[in-house]
Formats: sequence, C-alpha cells, structure tokens
Amino acid sequence: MIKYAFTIILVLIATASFGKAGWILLKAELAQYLIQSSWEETLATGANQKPWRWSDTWPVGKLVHAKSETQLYVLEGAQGNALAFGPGHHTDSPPLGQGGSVIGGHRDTHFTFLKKVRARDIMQLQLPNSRWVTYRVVSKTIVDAASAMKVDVNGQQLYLVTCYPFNAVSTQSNLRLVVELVETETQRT
Amino acid sequence: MLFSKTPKRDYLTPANTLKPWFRERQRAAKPRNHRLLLLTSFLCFLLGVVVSPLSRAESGELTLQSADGESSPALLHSTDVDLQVNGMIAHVTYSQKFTNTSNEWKHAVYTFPLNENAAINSMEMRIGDRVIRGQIKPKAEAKEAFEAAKKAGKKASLTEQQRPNLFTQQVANIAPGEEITVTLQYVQQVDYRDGKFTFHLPTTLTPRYSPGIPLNQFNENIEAEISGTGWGEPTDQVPDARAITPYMREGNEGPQLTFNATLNTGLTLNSVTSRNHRVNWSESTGNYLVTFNQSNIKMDRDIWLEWQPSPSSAPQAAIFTESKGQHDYALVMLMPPQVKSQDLQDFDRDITFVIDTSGSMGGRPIVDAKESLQLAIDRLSEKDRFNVVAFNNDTTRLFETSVEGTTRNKQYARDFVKHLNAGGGTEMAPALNAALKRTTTKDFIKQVVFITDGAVGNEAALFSQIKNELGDARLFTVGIGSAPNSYFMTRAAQFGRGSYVFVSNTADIKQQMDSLLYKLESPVLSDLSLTLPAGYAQSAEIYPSKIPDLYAGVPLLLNVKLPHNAGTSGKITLQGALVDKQGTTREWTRSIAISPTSTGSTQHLGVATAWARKKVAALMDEKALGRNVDEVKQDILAVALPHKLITEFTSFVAIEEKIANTQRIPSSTENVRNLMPQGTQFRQISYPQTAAGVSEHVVLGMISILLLSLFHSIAFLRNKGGTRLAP
Repeated sequence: MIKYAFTIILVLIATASFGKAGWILLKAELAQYLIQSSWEETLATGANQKPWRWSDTWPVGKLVHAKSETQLYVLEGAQGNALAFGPGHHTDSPPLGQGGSVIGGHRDTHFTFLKKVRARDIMQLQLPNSRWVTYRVVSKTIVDAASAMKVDVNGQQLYLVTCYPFNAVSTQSNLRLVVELVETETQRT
Repeated sequence: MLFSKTPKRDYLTPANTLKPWFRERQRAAKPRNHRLLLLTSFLCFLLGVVVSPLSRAESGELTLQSADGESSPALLHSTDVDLQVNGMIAHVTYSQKFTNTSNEWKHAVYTFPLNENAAINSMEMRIGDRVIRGQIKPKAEAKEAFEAAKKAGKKASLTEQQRPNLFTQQVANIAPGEEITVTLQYVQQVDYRDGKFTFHLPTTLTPRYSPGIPLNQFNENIEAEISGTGWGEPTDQVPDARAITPYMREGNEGPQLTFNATLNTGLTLNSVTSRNHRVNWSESTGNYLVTFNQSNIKMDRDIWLEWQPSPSSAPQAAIFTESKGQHDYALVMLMPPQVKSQDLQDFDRDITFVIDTSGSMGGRPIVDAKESLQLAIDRLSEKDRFNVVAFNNDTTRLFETSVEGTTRNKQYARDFVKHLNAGGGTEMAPALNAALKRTTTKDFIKQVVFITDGAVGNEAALFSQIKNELGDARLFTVGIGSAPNSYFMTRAAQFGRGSYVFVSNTADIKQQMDSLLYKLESPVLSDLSLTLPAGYAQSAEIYPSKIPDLYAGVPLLLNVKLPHNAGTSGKITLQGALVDKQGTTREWTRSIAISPTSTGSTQHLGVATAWARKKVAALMDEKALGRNVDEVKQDILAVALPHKLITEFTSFVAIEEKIANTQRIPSSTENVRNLMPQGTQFRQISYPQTAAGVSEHVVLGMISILLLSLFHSIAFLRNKGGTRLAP
C-alpha cells in the first residue's frame, strides 16, 4: 500500500512539475499575444492600455532582435507579476527611450534569446509615441546581483538584465547577465 | 503484478514470498547486488547528464567588450594642490602631472573644474628640468599657436576656460615614458558667511545636460566646426556641449590629488574642518597648517575646507590692500549685525520649492534633495503659502496655485515628494518660469527655493531668464551632490537676489538647510546705503557696482580699484535698518578706514587679481544679459591681458621651441577621464529577480521520475531475489 501511495505521489509531483513548467512557458507565450492588441491600442491612442482588465501592468515598448527573430512587448515594472507575461521595464530606472533605462526579463522565458545575442547586434525598441529607436549591443557582462546596478542616466544606454547562468536550477541566482546597448543614431565614440 | 502486494522490509530474511518478474532469468545473489549498483549508477549518471549543463558557466559568453570599449588609460594623471591663504585671499598652486606610460607619443586633453571665482594668472610647463612659461593670449591666437606647435612636433600646453568653473588643459607631444607637469597659479577670494571661512575646490563634475535642438539636425557638416572631445551633443542652446562634457569613469582608479594648506588669517581659529574629508591641523606662529588624512585624495567629490575663528576674533570688518602699477586695490569686507529671525518683524511669505528630478540627480543626490525639501516643508507655518514644482523634461506643479501651510497640505506635499524619482533631462527654463511667473497673493513676499545639482550647459540663458522674470521675487539655490555646478548655484542666486547653500553630503543637510531657511525667514536687510570718502565716487572703480541684497550672516564684499593719490583717506561706511518685533526701526552702521595710498601698510598680494576677476565676472554678467559680445570681448581683453587672467576670451599657451617629435611619429590624443561624483555617479538599481522557474520545475519533475524508476527497479530486483530464496 505504501509502495502504491509513494508511486502515486511521485507521479503526481512529476505531472505537477512538468505541468507548471509548461504553464509558465504557455502563459509567457500567450500573454505576449494578448499584449499585442493593447500595444497597438497604445500606439493609436497614446495612452497606457492594460492588456486585460485585472492586469496591474501595461505595455511600454516593443523590443525587436531581428537576428534571433525575437519580438517582445515590454511591460511596466520588473517584478514577478509583470515578468511572467513579458520583460519588464524597471520602475526605478529612467523611462524607455531615455538614457539608462533597464529592462529585466526571465532567463527561461522571454530573455532566453539573450544567450544568442552578440556584441554589435542591432535591436530596435518602439516607444509608445510610435518612435523606433535603434540600439547596438556594446557589451555582455556577468555581474554579482548583490551589488547595486549602476546605470549611466546621462548617456544613451539601454540595459537588458536577466539571471545567469541561463539553465541554473535554482531561481535564486546571485549572478546577472547585463547586456548594454547604445543608441546608434546618436552614437558617441 | 508490480503493484499487487505490499512489499515487506525483508531484504535480509529468506521468507520472501513474492513472485519473480521473470522467472527464467534467475541469478545468484551477488550478481543481483551488482545489478542494483549498476542501475543506480546509471540513473545517477542520467541525472548528472540532465543537471550538468545547468550549472556550467558558459565562459565564452562572459564578457564581450566591443572594439570601441574602454581601454586602460595610457596617460596617468595626478594633481598637487598647495593652498596659501592670506586673510581672505587664497593663493593656489595647482600642478597637473601627465605621465605617458605607453610606448607611443600622446597628446593629453583634460577637462577640469575649479571654483567659479578662480583667477588663473600664471601657467608653466615643466619637462624634466626645463620650464617653459606660458603666455596669456587672446583665445583664438593661443589656440592657433598651440595647434601649430602640436603639428610641428613641439611640446606645448594650452589652458582654456570653457565656463568660469570649467577649464581644459591640453598637452601636446608627450614622448613615450615621459612626464610633463603643468603648473597653474590662481587667486581665489575665500567665502565668509555664517561665521565661517570656506575655500572650495571642485575635483570633478556632474555630467551636464544640454537642452535645445541638436545642431546636426540643421547641418550635416557641423562636426568640423565644433571643438571639444566630450560626449555631449551640441545643441542650439549649448553649441559648445562637446567642450563641457568630458568622458567620465567610475571605480577607484582615475586622477588623484594631494592637498596641503597653510592658513595665515591673522585670526585665532576655533576649528579647521573639511566637509567631505578628514583633515589634521596644527598651529605654528600664527599660521595654521592643514593636511588631509589620506595623502592621495580620490577626485570624486568637492573639497570644502572651512575654518572658523573663535567668536571673539570673528571679524566684523576687514580691509586688504595691494599697490600695483599706477593703482591701489582693496578688498573690503563689512559684516551686517547678527540678529535672530525671531527678534525681527514677521512677514508673509509665498514660497515655491523647485526640485530637480533629472537623471543626473540619480542616486544619493535625489535622496538628499528630497530630504532637504521635506525639512523645508516641515518648517512652514500656517501663515505661509507654498507650492512644490518638480522637473526633469517636464515640469509638474503639485498645486495649481500656492496653498496655505496647513498640516493637511504639508502632508500632501510630503507624500508627493516621497514618491519623486530621478530620471530624464534637465529642462530648467520651464520650471523656473513656473516658479517665477506666478501671481501671488498681495502683500506676500515671493520666494523660490531651487534645489538642483546645476548640471546644465546653458547657464547664461538661465541667468538672463532669472533676471527678466524675477520681478520682486527672490531666488535661493540649494546645490546638491558631491560635485555641483557651483557657478550656476552662486550666480543664479545673485541674479535672483537671494542666497545659496551647498548640501554636499547627507550629513550637511540639517546645518545647510537651517542656514538657508533662516535667510528665508529673516527679511532682507533694508535701506542699505554706502558712504565713501570724498573723491572716491569719481575715481574709484568698485565691484559690485550696486549694493546687492544682504542677508544676515553674509557680508558685503567690495573690490575697489583706485588711482594713486586720488581721493582722501577716510571711511567706508555701510548703513542699514532693521525692524524688530515691536515694529521699531533700528539703524545700524559698519565702517572701516581706507587710505588711497597704502604706503607702509602690508601688501596683500592677489587683491589686484581678485579685483580684475570681479570685473571680468561683472562683464560676463552683462554679456549674459544681452550686451553685444564684441564689446564685452574688448572690455574683457582690456582687463584680462594686463592682469594675465584666463577668461572666456583669453588663454595661456606655453610652447617649447625645440622640436621634440623630430621624426613626426603620429601621436594619438587621449582624454583624461574624470571620476563620476561620489554617490551621484550612476543610477543605482537593484537587479530584478529574473527566473520564472521553468528549469526548477522541470528538474523537480525529472527527479520524481528518476526516483520512481529507481524505486521500482529496486522493487523488481528484490522480487527476483525473493523467488530464488522461496521454497
């Protein structure tokens, strides 16, 4: 009987775990579809549009990395609630499009593509006023998350942040991958 | 069958009655154990295969610095400062050492800050034992001579002013391994207010914002016309943005500074302190020697050296004189009486607090700015009216019009301030406009408190705006951060007929804000009049030309130039009136004796230079207010060339005639980077938690399945064993 129960529990755990993993991935994918329409509305109206009624976040930008065929809607806030549905703009950092803004994303869902990003890659960011800003990857750096992140708010940088290493089991990683991008049109060398 | 019966814990007893899974494959006990071992190992191996890539650091991806990334600097730079204070004049020997550690020829460019009153009147370049004295020349001429020498392979140095508190040092053709020292001498009038003398030396700058439309939107070929090597984008409002935005660096490396001071004040000092550093001081025969605790000072925050005379020796009036050429020069200090604000008549105030929430305020500055503002809001009484304006690119007014300082309104304002964050540009003009151009209730005195780091490039335009929009309001500035733009702070307060304080670190807030709020609460000293000895009015040239508004604790400083034998000996007298609580007017006077030919009296070197610097500043103010640039330029050249002063229109250039780089080996230009100001540096952001937990769940699932298979393998193997032992 114990053997029976033990087996069932293990099967249940396995099912739940795989199910949860699948659900996270599905939610991440699905949410982006739902956000798409609210983003289009944002562009049309110029006002923030919540993707669904009870949502506590809204899209603030569209990020495109053509090389890896990635297209992501960036949400406001880089906390758990927003990050489940899309990469989030860090509220403590300057607004998107201004120097020093920071976007965080889950390493195992939306920001997995950062693995493939290389220096000098081009990314585009669309702002709520429909303007497209082109960025170029300057560096990829692994940093200790215990230290505070220092961003140059007077420059033309955009920072993408995700946990590192990409495939770590624990969610409590103390390393972060920081991809630094610089606006290309006003490139300062 | 596998699940049919409850297995018993009988691995060691022979009484196992379970049926075997595959009868025909009976094995001996020993191989069975091996089998179990193998199986376990295999499963462990599988688990390892699954888990191992998860913890493998992908070293190839760790850092990909692009080609234009920062390389380690080949030019090392250090600054030695020697300060000699005589009375109220500071003589500074400011030596910059450039060491070329590479094996290439280098040109060095270093943009450095000094106090806005610094009057550089000597420059020399030292290469080994050779010393080349710099010549003062009109700016364009100096630049041309320097560029020609640079091209010819000669060693040369050029010191130019970009702003009254920002200069550029260039050194051409530094040979590999060579060390070149450029020594500047300057004179700076020390500040005396609230019973303290202050010498201010900035060591770095807060990156400045340039408002306006980028120039390259009008003209593609603008690049060629723009000088400077900084990161700033030239705009219609700040066409010289490149020259005032040097590249910055963070971290511990970077330019370093040594600092030694001798104070010969003629006063007994109670204390010598530095706001951002620890100092040691000792007295020897009336001189005070000051050394800093660290021998090498990190150039990431301003030095504020302060000395406080004992109350009994605190000067109420002082005069310092120097004879030079056909003229006598004097620096006169007259201190109005010290009064407590509660002894004075109350007046109704309408205060607008303007707080800078732009990107450069990010980090500690915004925290300090908010705290300073909270303190000021707390001090408001119910009779006061107030409003709060926050700005970066946009200007936000808390209340539509100013409101009464009730507990409720104050609480509302506190909540608003609490939620302010730094980010974005520094568009000061609309914010100043919102604060100055408001209508106020009749009989209320309009006051504006402007809390900012002053990190902008369009100072002159803002001064002119303040002057034009001020009306009968008063503008007070609070300089925030480790390296505020003190030129903006002090001049804005001067044009705004107010006063200024600097909050350079968190510990300063209370004291500095108290000093400022006290000035806000006490009325301006009224009915001021200055009486000069006979003949002075015609012959003397005095700066400031009009008596400025005076606040309690702030002295009147006069820089006087007088021809020899003009006028008579006599007294300079400052008179004023105070209205006390009972409404009675009390007159007061302060005076000091002055004689036109100060023969026999002690010569105070630097007084003439300080006068010339004040005259240049007055002319620059005229320029900011719209006077014809060419006229101003001629007037400035007329005073700057004989006094050998660096100004906006004059530079120092030193050229060694011998050609050093004889083979014309190409040299590259390197910018010496300034350190980001302490605390303010880059925006500090905590990293987001960025793992959804997919792999965590996948691994948990896998472990369950592995456990399951392991468990059943054991069960199966044990069953087999059982049949063998069964009867």
